[in-house]
Amino acid sequence: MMGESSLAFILFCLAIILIWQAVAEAGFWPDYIFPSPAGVLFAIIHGIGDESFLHGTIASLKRMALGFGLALMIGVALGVGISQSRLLERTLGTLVLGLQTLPSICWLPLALLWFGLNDKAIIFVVVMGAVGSITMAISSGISNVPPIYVNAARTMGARGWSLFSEVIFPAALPTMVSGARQGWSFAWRSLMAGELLYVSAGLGLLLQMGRELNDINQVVAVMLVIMTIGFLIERLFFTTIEEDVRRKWGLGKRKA
Amino acid sequence: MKKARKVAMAPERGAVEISIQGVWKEFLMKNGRLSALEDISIDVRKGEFLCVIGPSGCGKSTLLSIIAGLTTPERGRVLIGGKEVKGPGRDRVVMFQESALFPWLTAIQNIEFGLKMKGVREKERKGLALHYLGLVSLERFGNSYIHELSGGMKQRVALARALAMDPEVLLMDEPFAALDALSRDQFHKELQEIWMKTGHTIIFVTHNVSEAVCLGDRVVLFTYRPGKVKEEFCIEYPRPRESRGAPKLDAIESKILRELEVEYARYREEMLHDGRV
Ligand SMILES: Nc1ncnc2c1ncn2[C@@H]1O[C@H](COP(=O)(O)OP(=O)(O)OP(=O)(O)O)[C@@H](O)[C@H]1O
Ligand SMILES: [Mg+2]
Repeated sequence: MMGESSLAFILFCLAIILIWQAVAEAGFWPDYIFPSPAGVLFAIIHGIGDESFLHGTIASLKRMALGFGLALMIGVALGVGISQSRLLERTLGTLVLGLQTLPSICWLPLALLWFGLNDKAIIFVVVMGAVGSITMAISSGISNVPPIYVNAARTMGARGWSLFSEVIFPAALPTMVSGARQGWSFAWRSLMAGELLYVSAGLGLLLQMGRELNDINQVVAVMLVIMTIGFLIERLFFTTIEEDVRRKWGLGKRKA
Repeated sequence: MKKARKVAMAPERGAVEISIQGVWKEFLMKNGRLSALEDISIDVRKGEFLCVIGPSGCGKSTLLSIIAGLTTPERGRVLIGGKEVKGPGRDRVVMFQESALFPWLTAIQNIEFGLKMKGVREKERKGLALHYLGLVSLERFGNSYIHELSGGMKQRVALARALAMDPEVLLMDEPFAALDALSRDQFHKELQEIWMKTGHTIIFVTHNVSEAVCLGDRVVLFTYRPGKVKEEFCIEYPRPRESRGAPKLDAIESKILRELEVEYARYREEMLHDGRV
């Protein structure tokens, strides 16, 4: 099953590369406007060889790890608070929902004014990208725990912290994991936007450098790297955890 | 002045374990109040097997929830072993109408859950859980997750989880309602055997008359909304009883069935008249 679909995907990629190569060779556009697969491949090999991709990736992932870690901590605290108090739900909960409609890159100018031209500003944008989804997922996960689980646990003597850690938390976990995945993907998009606008190391810088040097092969190569890393973390890491949890919980596949 | 009320109580001697005293329960609805339970008084003796029967919506689950300490009544109180119920306690365990097993735990971990809350140490816990898993003949499925079990197996795990708590009182809310007739007969046999060994005080809610007659020392029939004790039937017949075929039990069964029919007629009438269920 899996083998069949990955085979189909590989064939699909090969076909695209062949068509791409054919169009590039036909020479409708000069090669500084339309890159060729070979040129991009060379840029990738070059980027790997001089370790610029590695350092860029490490710089970006460090920011992600820091920002996402902070967002997790803040999101869990806010989410638990909102789920426990009607008042917080109506005030803070509504505010978080409202802020979620603001693309988090819009925080960058403010962050630059607050923190100056440094990493703090960009990490702030990452935090703002992830924290809303995480908060909402934690609070809705907790408030939608079926009361029957809580009641059953209470008749078996679960109280306070043990009720939370042994019943409410695991019951809400599938929703929380989905929220974390969504938070990560928002944060990743904001980070890339941030690194393009305010340039200092990272994959966004490499992309921007490609443009400044008029090196279209480098631009496309970095785009492929960004896509691959996004795919690996979002699809493989988070989605695998999410599906594992859902399978174990007997929930079946998530739609779409 | 309290008015004298009829208290349903088994004739045999023995200490009263559960004393339900003048319990009333109302729910606030959009279009007014709904009186679910009205002046319920029942005494249950230690080790008695009491069945509560009544039409759908007469407040059976509500009563169990009050005894469990999960719902507070508007009036009246419940005493367990002489102490007033103020909240949930380990002396009472509920086997809920719908499956309340935890899907994130395996069968054996579900059984261990209550023991863990009780503070039983891990080693001891495993042994006890295995014992109760054996009692419901599910040794081979200890490591299965709940969604991997059939409906009947789930109810077995739920029973084992309740028994593992070793409570004084076992509150069972239509635990076998969703099972086929043959599995239910098997459950009836096993439950009686377990109960005869352990001597729990059981309140068993059902709307299946033959089940009530097969299991109960006594059957209390509720009226349809508001739920009131309409009649009680003592069933003196040797155990373990078969689910079918005893003429004396059949006679009681048809008597109860006739009474229940009357309540169901009221239920249907009310549904026709104001569309409420
Ligand atoms: N939390 C609640 N809020 C409002 N109404 C409720 C609530 N719980 C129960 N009721 C109402 O109280 C009545 C009794 O409900 P209950 O669940 O106790 O019935 P039951 O006898 O267990 O029925 P069934 O045999 O169908 O399980 C019903 O009419 C129901 O609508
Ligand atoms: Mg019920």
